[in-house]
Amino acid sequence: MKTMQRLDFWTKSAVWLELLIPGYFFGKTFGTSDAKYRALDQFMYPEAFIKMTGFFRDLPPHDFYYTSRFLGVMSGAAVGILWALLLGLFYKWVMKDWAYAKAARIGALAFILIALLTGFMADFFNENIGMSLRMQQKPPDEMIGRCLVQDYGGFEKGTRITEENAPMIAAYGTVKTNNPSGAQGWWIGSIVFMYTWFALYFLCAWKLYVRNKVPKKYWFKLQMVNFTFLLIYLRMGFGISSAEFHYIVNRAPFLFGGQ
Amino acid sequence: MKLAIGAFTTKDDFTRHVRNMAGLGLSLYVWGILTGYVTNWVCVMIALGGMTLQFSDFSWGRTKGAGYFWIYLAVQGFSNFMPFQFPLDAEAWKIMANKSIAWEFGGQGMPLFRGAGLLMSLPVVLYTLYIALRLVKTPPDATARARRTVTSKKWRIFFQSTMFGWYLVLFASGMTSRPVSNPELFFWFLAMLLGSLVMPFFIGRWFCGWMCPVGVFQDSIWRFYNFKGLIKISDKFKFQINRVYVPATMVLFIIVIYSFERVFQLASSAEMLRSPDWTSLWKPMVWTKVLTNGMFIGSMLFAYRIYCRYFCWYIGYRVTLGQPSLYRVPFMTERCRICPECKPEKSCVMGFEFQSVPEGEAELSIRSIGEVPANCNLCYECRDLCPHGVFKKKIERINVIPERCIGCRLCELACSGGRLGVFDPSRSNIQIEMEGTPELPAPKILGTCDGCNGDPKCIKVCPARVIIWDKDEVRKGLEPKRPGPVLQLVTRLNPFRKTPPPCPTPCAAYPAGCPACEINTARQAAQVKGDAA
Repeated sequence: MKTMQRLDFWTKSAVWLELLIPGYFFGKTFGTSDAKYRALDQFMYPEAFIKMTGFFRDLPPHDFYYTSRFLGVMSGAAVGILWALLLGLFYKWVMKDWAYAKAARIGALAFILIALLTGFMADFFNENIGMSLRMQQKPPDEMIGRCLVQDYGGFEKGTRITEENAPMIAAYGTVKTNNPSGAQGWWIGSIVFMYTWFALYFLCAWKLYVRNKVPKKYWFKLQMVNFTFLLIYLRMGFGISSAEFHYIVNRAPFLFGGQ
Repeated sequence: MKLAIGAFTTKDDFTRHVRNMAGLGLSLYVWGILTGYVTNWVCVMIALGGMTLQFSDFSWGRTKGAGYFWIYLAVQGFSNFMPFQFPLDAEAWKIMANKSIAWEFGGQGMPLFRGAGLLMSLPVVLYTLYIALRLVKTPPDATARARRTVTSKKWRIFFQSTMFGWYLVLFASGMTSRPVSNPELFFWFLAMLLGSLVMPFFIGRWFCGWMCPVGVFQDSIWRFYNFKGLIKISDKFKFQINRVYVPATMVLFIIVIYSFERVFQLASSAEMLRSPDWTSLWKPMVWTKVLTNGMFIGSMLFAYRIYCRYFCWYIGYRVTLGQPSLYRVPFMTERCRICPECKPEKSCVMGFEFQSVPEGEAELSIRSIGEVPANCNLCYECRDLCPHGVFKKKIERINVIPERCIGCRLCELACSGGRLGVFDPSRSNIQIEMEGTPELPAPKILGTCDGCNGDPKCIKVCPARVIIWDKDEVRKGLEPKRPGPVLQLVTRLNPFRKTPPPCPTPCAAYPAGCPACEINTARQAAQVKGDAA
């Protein structure tokens, strides 16, 4: 049997790269939640993250769109990586005899499902339903200053309609007016998809533990860490609550003069 | 030259014809794209010929290259002459209706005279029929037939052919439609959504091995010509493939691209070829595309699938996301005999070294984990080639019917003699032990038995037919075929049945059980009658 020579530097680099990528997936959406998309992203993602990445993004002065986007993605990635490192800290706490880098890598790779869900919900639900085509619409005057969503169940979150985000919200309403039943199906589908994804998350994490020779005695504790982080993330404002869904789908078309 | 129309006698004979067809297919393809004049039914014939060649792979070696040429040719003909395009907008439909089809020249095709396409196509259609006829006459290769693992390859080729054909239709349609509604982009959207974002969590890089058109292109051409590459890949690269280069690809390409543009602003190759916008070359998506295409061409110098190993920017998603995948190709370490010429290792397009253990990381090697890494594209070549069934969870081993054993111990001698060259029953993979009272011989097969690469000696010498191997076609022919559960139920429920239900014992030798068997129905009935009397 042959024995391959190990390349220490490269192997260690790989560990950190695999730690970086889930963090990037997780944070990039918050980073790209600029003025154009923020109104919609706030329905799905924790506002704290969006504000945090916005703060970092706006630190260096910039005017150009691509510069802004690049800085946004990088600041989002930084926030995501911090989250992954925090998760790794708890993994290390559970697996005391493991090196931090190895424990954090497993935690981050397991978390990649949630990170991906976060990263691509914006792509699918904001852009692909035709948002960007309606960006140029002028907001209706009566919309300025009104509050669209004030109270929606357990999650305290709301979007005050301002001059800045009104075009986006008006466009959102227009889209829903075009096809309310389709929009309703879309959102129901998204919720079902999201919770199915959570189930897959725990299954995949379990397979990852088996594959990386994590001792059996840690499996349950690590899944509990995953579960806790997921709960925290949901409590911070990830996803869309049923009340929120109900409000948006049913009222928004009428609000904007639709059928 | 004498035209033989009998069966192919050698593989080389067949391969020679296939290469001729590839050359003719290429010439017809050039003719077709220059003139846009290939009739529709010829396209159908060509597609059938291509598919025939695809599936002849099972008996006569690698023919996929020629097959794909033909399919490509047929698709080209379809896209030029039929309104077989993706009707996404009125403008594209209008173009189709106006028969602005020969995209190379931006207008109508240039038929030389009526029937020119048919005349041009006739020799190759006849050639296809000729080879197909000879293939029909050729009996399948017995050894290839005996290997049941070929089933996975059959499905792979079917998927690859279908997806490749579909992609080419979309690609060709994209050449004639407007930029807003580009069908090729639709394909890559699906590839992104399903192949890169959802499927990796279930089956890793299955998309790369079974559906990706870029991979199919490389497989078909490079495997057909057995091209090994001009530049050898070092062991360092091979070892680090899964740990460094793939995440690095991810960081370099996807993160940089996304930093500037949304993923769904992709520009398709067809669109860029049709109307290249030189003013937008500075855009990250455009130069990334140019870079990746350049790397694809450059990677051809090494070997096929090198692009898929290191450079394709989709693999960043598929491999990283596939780390926690639910399924991977298993590696049953206890069955691996560390053969000096490991066929799976030689044929692996991803360059895995199944026999190597990285220093300091033995606990995470393939041999230790019992699975191949996430970078595997699940082509199952290894599964087909390994004679010891290392890449299969369950293998069909030889089995025994202990009741038939007469204790002659010939199997022990045959096993040790056939494998090791010495008659040493203690080193045999089958051991006869005496059990029970009175002592009866009970053959036991050890876990180290690998079926002698498909040619077990013990089966040949056993006089009492104790040892059974399901792959043995002769034995299958001798034994009656056991009906499946549905047929058994139907037989049982049928009030008009004339034959008794099959015996539930494993041997299934007689429909109602052996005369000496305890559960023989006739014997049971006679016993009941006797007891009653």
